[in-house]
Amino acid sequence: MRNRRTSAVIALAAGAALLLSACAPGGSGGETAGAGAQRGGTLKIASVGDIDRIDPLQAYTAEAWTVARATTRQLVTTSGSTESVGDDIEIVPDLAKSWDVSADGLTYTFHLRDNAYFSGASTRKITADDFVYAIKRFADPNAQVGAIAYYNALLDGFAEYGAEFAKVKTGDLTAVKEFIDSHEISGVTATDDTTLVLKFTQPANDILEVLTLPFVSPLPEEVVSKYFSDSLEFRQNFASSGPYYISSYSPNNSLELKRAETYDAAADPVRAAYADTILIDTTVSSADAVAQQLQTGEADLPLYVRSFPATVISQYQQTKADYLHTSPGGQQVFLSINGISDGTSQGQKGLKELSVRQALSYAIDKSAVVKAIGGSSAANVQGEILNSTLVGHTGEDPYATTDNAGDPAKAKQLLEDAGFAGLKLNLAYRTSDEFTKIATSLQASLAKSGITVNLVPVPEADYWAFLADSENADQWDVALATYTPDWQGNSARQILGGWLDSDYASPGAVWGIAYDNPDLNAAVEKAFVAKDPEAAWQEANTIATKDLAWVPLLERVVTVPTSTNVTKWTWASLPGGADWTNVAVK
Amino acid sequence: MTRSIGVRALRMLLTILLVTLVAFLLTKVAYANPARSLAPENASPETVAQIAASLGLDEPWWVQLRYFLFGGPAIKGVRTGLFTVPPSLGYSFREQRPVLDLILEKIPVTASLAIGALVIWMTISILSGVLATRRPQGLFDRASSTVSYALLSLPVFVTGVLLLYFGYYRLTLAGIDVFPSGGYVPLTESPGQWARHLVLPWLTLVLYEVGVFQRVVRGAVLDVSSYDFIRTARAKGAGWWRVSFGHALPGALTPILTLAGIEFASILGGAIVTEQIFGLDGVGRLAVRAALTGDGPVVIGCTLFAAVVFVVITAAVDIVIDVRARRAR
Amino acid sequence: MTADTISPSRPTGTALVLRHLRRDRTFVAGAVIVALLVALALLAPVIAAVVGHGPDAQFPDIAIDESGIPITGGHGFLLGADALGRDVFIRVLYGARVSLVIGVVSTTAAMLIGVAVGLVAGYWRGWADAVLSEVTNVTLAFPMLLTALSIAALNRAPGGSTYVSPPVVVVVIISLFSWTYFARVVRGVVIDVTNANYVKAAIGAGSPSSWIVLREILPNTAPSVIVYWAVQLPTNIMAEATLSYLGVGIRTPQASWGLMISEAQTSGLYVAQPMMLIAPCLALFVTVLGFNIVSTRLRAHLDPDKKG
Repeated sequence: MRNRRTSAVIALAAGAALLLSACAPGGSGGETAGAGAQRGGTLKIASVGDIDRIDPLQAYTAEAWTVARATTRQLVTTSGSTESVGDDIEIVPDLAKSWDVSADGLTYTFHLRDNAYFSGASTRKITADDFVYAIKRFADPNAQVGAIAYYNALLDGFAEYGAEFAKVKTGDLTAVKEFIDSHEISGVTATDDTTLVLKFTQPANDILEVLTLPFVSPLPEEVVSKYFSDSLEFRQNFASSGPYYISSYSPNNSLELKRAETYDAAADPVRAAYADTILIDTTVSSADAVAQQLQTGEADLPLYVRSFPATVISQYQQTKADYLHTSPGGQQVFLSINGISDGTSQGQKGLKELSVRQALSYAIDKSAVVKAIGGSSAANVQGEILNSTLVGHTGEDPYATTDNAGDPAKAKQLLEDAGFAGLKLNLAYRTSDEFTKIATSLQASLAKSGITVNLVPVPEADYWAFLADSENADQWDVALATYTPDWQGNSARQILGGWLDSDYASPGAVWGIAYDNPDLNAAVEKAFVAKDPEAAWQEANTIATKDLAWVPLLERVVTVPTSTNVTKWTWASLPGGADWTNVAVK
Repeated sequence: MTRSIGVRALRMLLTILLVTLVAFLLTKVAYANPARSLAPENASPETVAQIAASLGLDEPWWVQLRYFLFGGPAIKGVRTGLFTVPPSLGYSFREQRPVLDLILEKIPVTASLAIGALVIWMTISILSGVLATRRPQGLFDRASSTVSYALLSLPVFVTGVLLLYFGYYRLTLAGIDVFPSGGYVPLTESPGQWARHLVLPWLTLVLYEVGVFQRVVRGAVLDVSSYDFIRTARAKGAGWWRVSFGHALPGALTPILTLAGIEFASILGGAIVTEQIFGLDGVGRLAVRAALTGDGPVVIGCTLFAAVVFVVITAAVDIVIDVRARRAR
Repeated sequence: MTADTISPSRPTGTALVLRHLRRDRTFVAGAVIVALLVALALLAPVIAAVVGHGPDAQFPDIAIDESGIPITGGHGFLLGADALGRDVFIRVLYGARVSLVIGVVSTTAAMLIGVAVGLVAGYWRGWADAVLSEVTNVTLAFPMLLTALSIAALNRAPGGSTYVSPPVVVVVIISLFSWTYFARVVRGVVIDVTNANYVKAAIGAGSPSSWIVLREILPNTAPSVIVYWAVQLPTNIMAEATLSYLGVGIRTPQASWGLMISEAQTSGLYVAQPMMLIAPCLALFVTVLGFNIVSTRLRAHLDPDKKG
C-alpha cells in the first residue's frame, strides 16, 4: 500500500480510476452504513476558536487545511479515503487535468482545466497566471509562505527572486504589487491560460506531494493584491477556487461557507461537495463543550479538538459506534533531547551518552502515558521515529519493555554503569491540559528509576520559540515535542531529512534538535534518490531509532465523533481528519 | 462646582495616563519577542526579524512608547498614536486589525451582558434586601441571608459551568431545547435570540452579585430606618411598603450605588470567566486571548478600556450621589 | 468587596466581645467550619500517610481503567481518582493547605501595605496623601484578572521555569489588588482619630510623629483592620482559586482547588468521575462560606454601627 512510486503515469492512471469511483453514486460506503450520501443540508462545525489562517499562503495547520480543502484547489491532490487518514495517499489530478514530466525529471508541464471558476470575491475563470501569482506571493516580506524551505530548495530561480523581494519595504501594498508585477521566477511560467510550467533544481520523488499542499492554490491578483495577507479584509473578500466560497465571516464568531453556484462537479474529480452550506461556529470554549454539541446534534463535526474526553469516547463506543471514526496516523509525541546546549549540566552531559538515552527510554512507562491521555482509543505506544502511516516504518521497537510499562531495573543499571545514577532532568512541556498530564506521568514513572524530573512548563504560544532559542538552552534537557507529517506516505524527507540529517537541518531550529550522525546522513542521501524509497527509509529510520535521536512515546489515534446527522464519512490526509467536501449530512 | 469637576476630570485623566504607562511597560517586559510566536514555526531568524520590523518592534521601547502615545509610522495601513485625532490604540498582531476597532466591536456583547445582569441583580437584591428588613431575624430574613451567604461563596467559574451543564446539555439531551450552548446574537438582529443566548450568562453573574448585594441593601436600609425622616414618615401613618421603598430605600442608596458602580464597571471592563465559559465574544475574551498569545497592543488597549470604564463610572456614581445630597439639603 | 468604611468602634472590652461571640450561634457554626478545615489541612500529611497515597503519587494501574477513565472509589480511594490516578480526597486536603496559606499570607500582606499607606496618607496628608491616593486610584482602575495574566507571562519569560515560585506570584498579585481597601479604611480612621483630643494633646506636647502614629493611632485602627482582614480573607481565597482555574496561579502537580476544577472540566472526566469536580467545588464553597460567616458576625460584634 505504502510502496508507491509517484511517476506521473501511475498517478494519472490511479487518478482516472478514482475519478470513476468518486463519480459513482453513493461512493463506496465507508464506516457509516452509508447508503444515504445525499446532497444538500448544512454541515455544522463546532470549533474551539477561530480558524488560525484562511489565506492558503500562511495556512499550515491541520485545521486550516481542513477549511482549505473546501475553499481551495491545487494542481494535484489526494482523493480522500473512507478507510483511514494514512490510506489517503493516491495523488490525482485536481485543477490540472494532466501533466508531462521531462526526461530529466526537472520540468513539469501542467495542463489546466478550462472550466473551473473562482467564487466569492471573484467569479472569473481560473487560469495558469493565477498559480504564477500565488507562487510569487510566497516570498512577500509582509507574510511569507508557511513552508518556504520546500520552494527555496526545489523551485528554479525562487531563491534569487526571494532575495530581491526581501528588499521591498514592508507595510506597503503598492510596493508589493509593483514588485510582483515587474519580477519573474524563472522556474514558474504560464505559457498560456491553461498551461503552467514548473522547473525544479533537482529531481525528487515527492514533488507532486509537495504540490498537493494548499500553498499552491490559484488566487486572483486583482482581488488579493488589495489586502494584507490573511487580514480581516482578505478573509471577507476571499476568492475561492474550491467548491465553497466564504459567504460570511465574523471573526471569533462564525464562518459560513456556501457551495458556489458556478461549481461544476464534472470539473472536480475529488470533491463531491454534498452539503449546501458549511457553518462553522468558532465560539465554542472547550473540547468538552464541543462533545456536548455533537451529542445534542447542535453540531455535526468538531474542529480544533486534538483529543476528546475519554468519557465521551467510551460513551460513543457503547451507544453510537457508527458515529465514532478512528484512524491511525495522528501526531507523534516524543521526547526531544536538547542538542543546542553546551552540555554543562549533569543531565545534558548524560544525554550525550547513548546508554543514558537508553536508560531514559527504558525508564519510561509508555503505557501509563497512553492511559493518562485517554487509553488505546486516543493513542498507541510508539517505539520508532517514523509513524505507522509513513514509508519507512518498520514496526520494530529496539527498546521494547514488557507491556510497554518500562523497565526501571534495567534503567537503573544502565545509569549506574554510565556513572549517572540519580540523574536529574529538566523536562520542558507546553502548558496544555494534555501535555501537563503527559509530563506529570513521565515525572512519576522516571522517579521509579531514580531519575528526578524538574518540570519546566512553557505557555503553548511560546513553546516552539522557547525551544528553538539557544538562550534558553540551559533551562531544559528534554522536551515534549510532536510532529504531524505534512502529508501521509512518502514524507520521511521532512522528518529524517529536514530534522535529523545534519547536512540539511539547522541545529536547534526544530524542538531544539541538533542531531549529528554521519551514518544517518548517508542513509538519508540514499533514500532521496532511491527509485523505491521504502527500504532506504527503513534503514535510515532504524539507525535513528536505535541511536535514540529522540525518544518516541506515542502515536495518536485520530478519533472523531460526529453527530448522528452525518450519513457519509471520508478521511483526508492533509486535514488529518474529516474531508468536509466528502462528508454528507441528513 | 465647575472647578471641582474640572479638578476631578484632570485627576481622572492622570489616573488613566498612569494606567496606560504601567500597562505599556508591563506588556513590553512580559511579551518579550512577539514576532517569534507570530512567525511560522519553522521560520528563520531573518524572517522573524522581518516580521518584527514590519510591526515596528525593532525600535527601542521608549521609541515604541512615543509612537504609541503620539503617533509613528503606520503599521500595515493602521495609524498609531493615542493622542492623535482620531485616537488610535495601535495594531493587533494576531487579528491584524486596529485595536480600537476590535474593542469597539466587542463592546455591545460585554455591555449586553453587564447591563442585563445589573438590572436583574439589582432588582432581586433590592426587593429581597428591603423585604428582609420588614422583620429582622424573621423567617424571610434568615432564609434570604442564608441563601446570599451561599451565593457569595460560589465562584463564578463553578456556577457558569454547572449552569451550562444542566441548562444546556442535560436539558437539550432530554429534548428540552431552551438554552443554547453559547454564542451571541445582536439585539438588533433578534431581541428574542439575544435574550435567549444571554439568560445563562446573566444568571451566572446575577447569582454571585445577589450574594454580594442582598446583605448590603438590607444593612443600608436598616441603618437609615432609625433616622428621623423615616420615623416621621411612619408617624404620618404611611404603610410599610411606602416607607420602605419610598423613603428608606432612597435614603440608603449611597453605599448601594457606590458598590453597584464598582461591580458594574468591573464586569463591563471584561467579564473574563463568564465570557470564556459561554463563548461570548466580548472584551474579556478578547483580552484573555491577547494575553495568552502575547498580542501586546490588545492587552494594553483592553487594560486601558477597563480603566476608563472604571474611572468614568465611579465618577458618574459619585456625581449622582453628590447631586442627590445637594438636593436633599 | 464592600466599599463602605467602618468608623472606629466604641470602646468594648475584648472579653465582652468574646462573650457575645460565644453566644452567637451563627458565628459558632462558622468558627467550627473554619476550625475543622484548619485541622484537616494540618492533618493532611498524616491522613495521606495512613491511606498510603501521597498528594502527587499516581496509581495508573489500579486507579485508571483501560480506556483512561479514573475509578470513582475503592482501593482506598475515598473520593476516587483523577485523570492521572491520583487520590482526589488527599488532593482536596492538600488543596486546603494551599488555599489557607495563600489566603492568609496574601491578606496579611495586603493588610500591612494598606495599613502603612493609610497611616502615612491619613496622618501626614498633603502631598503624601495626594500621591498615595493616586496610586490607590491607579490600582483600583487596573483590571485584576487581565493584569494577572500579564504578570504570569512576565514571571515565565525568558526561561521556561519561573523566576519566582508560582505561589509567591499569586500572593503578590492578590495582595497588590486588595490592599486598597485597607488603605481606605485606615486613612479614614486615622483622620478621625487625629482630631481626637488626646492625640491633639500628644502632638501639642511635642511627641515625635512616629511615636504618635505607632502608640496613639495604630491601636485605634486595630478593630477595623481585623474586621477587614476577616472580610477580605474569603475573597482572596476565591481569587486564588480563580487564578489557578485560569491557569495563571498554582501550577501542576501541586494541588489547588481551582486547578483541580479546571482539570476536571477540561478533561471532561467529571461525567464519569463526578467527585473530580464536586469535591474541590464543595471544599471551596464550604471554606469561603465558613470564613464569610465568621467575618460577617465578627463585623456585627466589633462594629456596632453595622447591623449584620
